[in-house]
Amino acid sequence: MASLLPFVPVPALIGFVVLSLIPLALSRAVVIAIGVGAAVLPAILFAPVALSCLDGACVAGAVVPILTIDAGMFVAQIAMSLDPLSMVTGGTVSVVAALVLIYSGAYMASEPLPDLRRYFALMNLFLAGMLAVVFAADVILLFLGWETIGLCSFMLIAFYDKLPKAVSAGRKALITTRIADSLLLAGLMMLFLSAGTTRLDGMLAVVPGMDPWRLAPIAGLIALGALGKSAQFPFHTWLPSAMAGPTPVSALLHSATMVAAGVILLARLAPLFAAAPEISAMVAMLGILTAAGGALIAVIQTDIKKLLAFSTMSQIGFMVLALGLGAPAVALAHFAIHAAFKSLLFLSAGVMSHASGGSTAIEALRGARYRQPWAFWSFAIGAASLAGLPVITAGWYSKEAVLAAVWSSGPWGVPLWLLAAAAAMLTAAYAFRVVFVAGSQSADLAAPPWGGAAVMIPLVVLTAVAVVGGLSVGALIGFAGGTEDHLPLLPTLLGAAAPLLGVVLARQLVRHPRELEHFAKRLRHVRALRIEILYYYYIVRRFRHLATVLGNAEGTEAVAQAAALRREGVDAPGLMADDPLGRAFGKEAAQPDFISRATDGQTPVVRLVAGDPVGRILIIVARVFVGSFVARFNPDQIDRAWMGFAGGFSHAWAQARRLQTGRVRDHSLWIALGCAALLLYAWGTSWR
Amino acid sequence: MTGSDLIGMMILAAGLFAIGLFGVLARRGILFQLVALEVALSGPALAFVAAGAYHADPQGQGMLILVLTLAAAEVAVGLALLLRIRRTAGSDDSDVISGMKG
Repeated sequence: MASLLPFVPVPALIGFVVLSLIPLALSRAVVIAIGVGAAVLPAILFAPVALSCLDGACVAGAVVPILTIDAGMFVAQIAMSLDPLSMVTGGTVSVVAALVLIYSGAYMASEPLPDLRRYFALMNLFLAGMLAVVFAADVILLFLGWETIGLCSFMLIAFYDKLPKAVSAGRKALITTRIADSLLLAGLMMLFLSAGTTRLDGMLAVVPGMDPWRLAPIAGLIALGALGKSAQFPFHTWLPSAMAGPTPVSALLHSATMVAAGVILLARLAPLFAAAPEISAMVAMLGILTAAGGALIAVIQTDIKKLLAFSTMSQIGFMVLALGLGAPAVALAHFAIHAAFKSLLFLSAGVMSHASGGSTAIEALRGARYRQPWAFWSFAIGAASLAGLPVITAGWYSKEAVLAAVWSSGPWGVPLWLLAAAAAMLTAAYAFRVVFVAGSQSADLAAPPWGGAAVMIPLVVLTAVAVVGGLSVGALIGFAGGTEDHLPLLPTLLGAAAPLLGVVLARQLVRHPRELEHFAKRLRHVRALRIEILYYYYIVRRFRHLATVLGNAEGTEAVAQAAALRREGVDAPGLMADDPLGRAFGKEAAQPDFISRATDGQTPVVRLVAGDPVGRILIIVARVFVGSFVARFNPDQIDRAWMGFAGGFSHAWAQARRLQTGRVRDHSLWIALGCAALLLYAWGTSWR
Repeated sequence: MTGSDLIGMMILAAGLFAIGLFGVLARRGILFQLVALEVALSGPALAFVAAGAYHADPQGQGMLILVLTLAAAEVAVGLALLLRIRRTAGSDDSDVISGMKG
């Protein structure tokens, strides 16, 4: 059955060729039929392979050669491998892609015919490229697939090519991932030079005996390449803007393809990273940073697609964290479950925003529960799974496995676990914020009918997986060759409490505007009693006078100075950092008429400081304290050096931008220098 | 062919490549850059033939044929691109096409 494996991506490839290259005029129905059929067939073809795998065909791992290039002493073999890793990832990718493409048939049906054809052709190529990545047994096929999905994501993100925003988002994704790809290519080439083979198993076989000075740069380059594809810090910037593409593209890109490719590569090369602990530590650190940071940013998003984008970043961060801690099986289990609920979230959000006037703002979804109950409930179930509500959702099981792997990962386990649990709490907060908004009543109940079987089927299937998929997590981890750690009772309970706490937080966040309004109304009643006016006349003014006498002039001068510097475009880090006033005014000082207003005492902050004697006196005390005490122990040099170092970064950034001149000749100079450096390095480390 | 012959050939090949690279970097006209690229390609081609002769291995000549094919393809595509660029940019100065500037 393993010999069937190379045929799995073929239907998708044929779909791409037919739709993009056959010059015949195809009707709308035919285009949709080809596009959807070519994406469903791989899942059907993969089913018998997967069954044979479960029967034990892939315990040892089978390699299916496709093409062997025999060049004298050197043999390059393009092959696919059937092992637990490709079984889990291949199954996830083909099933999710089939469901997303079925949904696309309905979602994109109103596009003009040429766009429809382009869309399905690219989606099919995207799927074929991703399947090549997950099945690849050699780096040639792996890199081919890797670049194919990069190209397809560029063209799909920029799908609405009349919108400058979409085009620049696509370009940003391409360039960011291309920088990472070049690092990956360099790493793979250096690994090839050491191993002398393009087969992944052969490459991994030479890892144990490798000189650490050679291994660490290779592992580092490959890790950075993978993190770029997975939109991890510091390459994360392309993912949120990639929302400019159609919603099904986002659903596919965020769940099973593209961002998942980095995770799959890291899992595939896990022995390499196990041999390079410092690189693994870097990967884990970047992972937790992205997991926590992404969740934090997602909480304050107002656009549902942006929110989901940051959510993806954060969830992939969890997977990368598990990979960095040496638990690839756990990361894979989370990948499979995440693919189900994240595509569910995107697809149901697409339905809801269709029914809410096409807007993707979260506020516009208010009342979606009454307009599109099906989509709302499947979104709610997806959100529950994303949040990881204990016991009843699949997300809890896979996230629990990640948290357990973090807990038992050595001396840093507990602090890392706390950070990961905090990220899990924030996950529940942002996921349920949307649910609470969409579930609340709204005046507008007009329901434009949208949806049908093609929309319902994927939603129902994915909802089922998002709920009962949890039962398979333990088996999945065991199947992928890992062991599931079990936590002591207390962290388990705390881990279960985190999402519940997040739901409460979400409730508060959604309620907050109304509470605030209520509070503001109360305040108006109080004003009617004129108490605050009496307070102002008899208390505030006295203190204000005192504060002015004590040092207002000095404060305004600092503010004006900061404003002047700001206006010249100079960030004055020293001034901003050591002066509390300057820091407080940072944002406001950017206003054009700030100085005149500040010197008149008219800006809100000046009024606040001047009108708030207690705060003013604190500032004066702090200044005296700093001037007489701190400054003595802190000779300015250290401070200046530190701020200069920080300021140097933005300076370096501006300089680095100039490297990209757009000139062919400069470009070829850099290529030549880079090649020379790589050759020198490879020669220096391989010469005995 | 002796070892010193091989080293001489390699130096010649490196020189050819360096001249070609310098030409690509220093010239602004796309046509001249293409010509320089041909010179640059002939360096590695010579190195392959010389190494093949030294080791008495036909693979060196095989690589030469590959390089020649590559060069022919590159000229075909390059000249077509040159025509196209002249039409869109109105000039064959390679510095004019810098739309990807950061």
